Amino acid sequence: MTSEGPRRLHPSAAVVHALGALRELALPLLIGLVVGGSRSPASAIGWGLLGVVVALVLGILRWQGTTYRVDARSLHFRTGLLSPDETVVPLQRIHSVDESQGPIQRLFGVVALHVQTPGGGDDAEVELTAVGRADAVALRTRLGHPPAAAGAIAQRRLGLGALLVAAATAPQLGVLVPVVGAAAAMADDLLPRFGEDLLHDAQQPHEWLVAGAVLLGVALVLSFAGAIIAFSGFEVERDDERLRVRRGLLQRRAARVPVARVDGVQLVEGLLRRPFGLVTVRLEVAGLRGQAVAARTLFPLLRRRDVPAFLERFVPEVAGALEPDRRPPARARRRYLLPPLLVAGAVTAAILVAVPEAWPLALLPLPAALALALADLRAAGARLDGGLLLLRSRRGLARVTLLARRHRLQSLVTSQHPLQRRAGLAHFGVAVGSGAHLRVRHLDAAATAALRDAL
Amino acid sequence: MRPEPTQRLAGVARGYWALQGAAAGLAAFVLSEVVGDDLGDTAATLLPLAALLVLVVGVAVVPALRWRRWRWEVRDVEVDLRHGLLTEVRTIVPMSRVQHVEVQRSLLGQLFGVSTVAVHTAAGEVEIPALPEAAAALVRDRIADLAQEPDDL
Repeated sequence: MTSEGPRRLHPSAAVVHALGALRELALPLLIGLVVGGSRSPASAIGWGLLGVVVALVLGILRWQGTTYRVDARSLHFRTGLLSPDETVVPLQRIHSVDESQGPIQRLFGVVALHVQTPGGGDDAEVELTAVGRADAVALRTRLGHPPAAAGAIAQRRLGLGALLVAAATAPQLGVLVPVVGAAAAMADDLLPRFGEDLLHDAQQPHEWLVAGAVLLGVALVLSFAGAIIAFSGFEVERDDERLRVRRGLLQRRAARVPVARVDGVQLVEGLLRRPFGLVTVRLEVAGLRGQAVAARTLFPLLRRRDVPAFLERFVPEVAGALEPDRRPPARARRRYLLPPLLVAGAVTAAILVAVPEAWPLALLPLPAALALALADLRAAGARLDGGLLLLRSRRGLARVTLLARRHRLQSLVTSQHPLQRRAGLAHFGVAVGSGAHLRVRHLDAAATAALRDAL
Repeated sequence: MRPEPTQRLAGVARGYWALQGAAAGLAAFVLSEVVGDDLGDTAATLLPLAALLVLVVGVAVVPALRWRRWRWEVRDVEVDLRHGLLTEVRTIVPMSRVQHVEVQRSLLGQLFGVSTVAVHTAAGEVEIPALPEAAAALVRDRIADLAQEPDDL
């Protein structure tokens, strides 16, 4: 095919850019609004309109100044208002071309194309913010990365029902409570009278309970909404050598992971999901260290019994038996049970001594500790099957199963304290490339050493 | 069966750690004198005593024991460490996972002529503390050489 002249993006790119500009203008505008708005509402509206007009003009100018062109060797991409930058990407270096659709793109029926090169990191080397569908297909073909539909060996979408269940059982609750607490404290500062009223009213313990319940309710709603936003339209696709994950309600996010870089998977069964036999599958990849949990999700919600088939289809590299065969020996049992029960006993005693009138609270710690300790004991275990190491343990309130490729483990750690030495027990832990650590407690020391030496 | 690591840290590590322990103990002692006065008579006598105990243990017991327990070994395929006062911790880092190695020299370490070798992987780092400077440089170079074989990461 011969070279064509430079082309512009779809005009809706102007809207996308305008929104981007509006976001950048948001802070000065907000200051203008507050300053102006304190004088009269009319000037506040004036400031708002000015911002929108400026953003729109910037968007149109940016659209006008952005062109792309493909010749026999490279993709040329030119953008910028005052000093246009030209990026040239040799066709051979293009690693993948991905499509995504934000709300604006969906409104206009166009797509954004991300052209990735190796070493480009998380940001696309070139991003074409709005391209018509037919143009996108033509362009992708010219870039040597035609639409993937034919290439995918396996594909799975998260249905609406599963999305709702996933959101309702979202594990972010624990993280959100302090956030809501901080927000409440801030509201307290901003609205001193409201705060005083609340404090005044909250003299009675049950009022505090109500306040707590309200906070919890807000946290639940936020967590639910957060999960819906993060996991809407979740889609995973496997082709020859890559996994692609797409997700997001407001902003469609796409992640591509070469299967060769997968260290393993983690099956996470949260407190609310475990009873229903539901599992989240996370991907362990070295490059994703430090990224949000949502970005590391391979699939948000699966039935436990569907997991083997899912792994077999999408990451056969790490598919294997899911039950550990090395478990803590009988003599380890009291080491799982005793410490939590002692702590719970101490807490119970402290409650009874310090606030005898709150005695119903004292009924909680012991059963909770017992349940946790038993869950711990039942979860714990390890298995080594050829090239695949399985570790199962509890992290927070969730049961976590790590399936890791043996040759991609970052480190092995065994530890043994004096009491364990006497009983012939040891802890066994590994770290994978994403920075995740998992440790199984109180395994037989000889079995641990054998496991360590086999790896 | 994988053999246990055999190399020890520099002998002066004991003096180095003792000095660290002394500094921490003294800080605790000063703090306990300051805070103890505000907490009543019992606290005013007990806290400094506890701080002194920390000082003595930190100078006389911990460094020697720690040094006796520390073993390390750099093999062709892995870095093997074993250490721990009471809890014995054994850490194994496959050579193919090593991303980079560095030698760290603290001010106090320089006085004693010891350095720390830190081995970094994608999941964090492990350290061999208090090696003689020349040995540390050798270990660093050896690990860097062995880790050369690139991996598909």
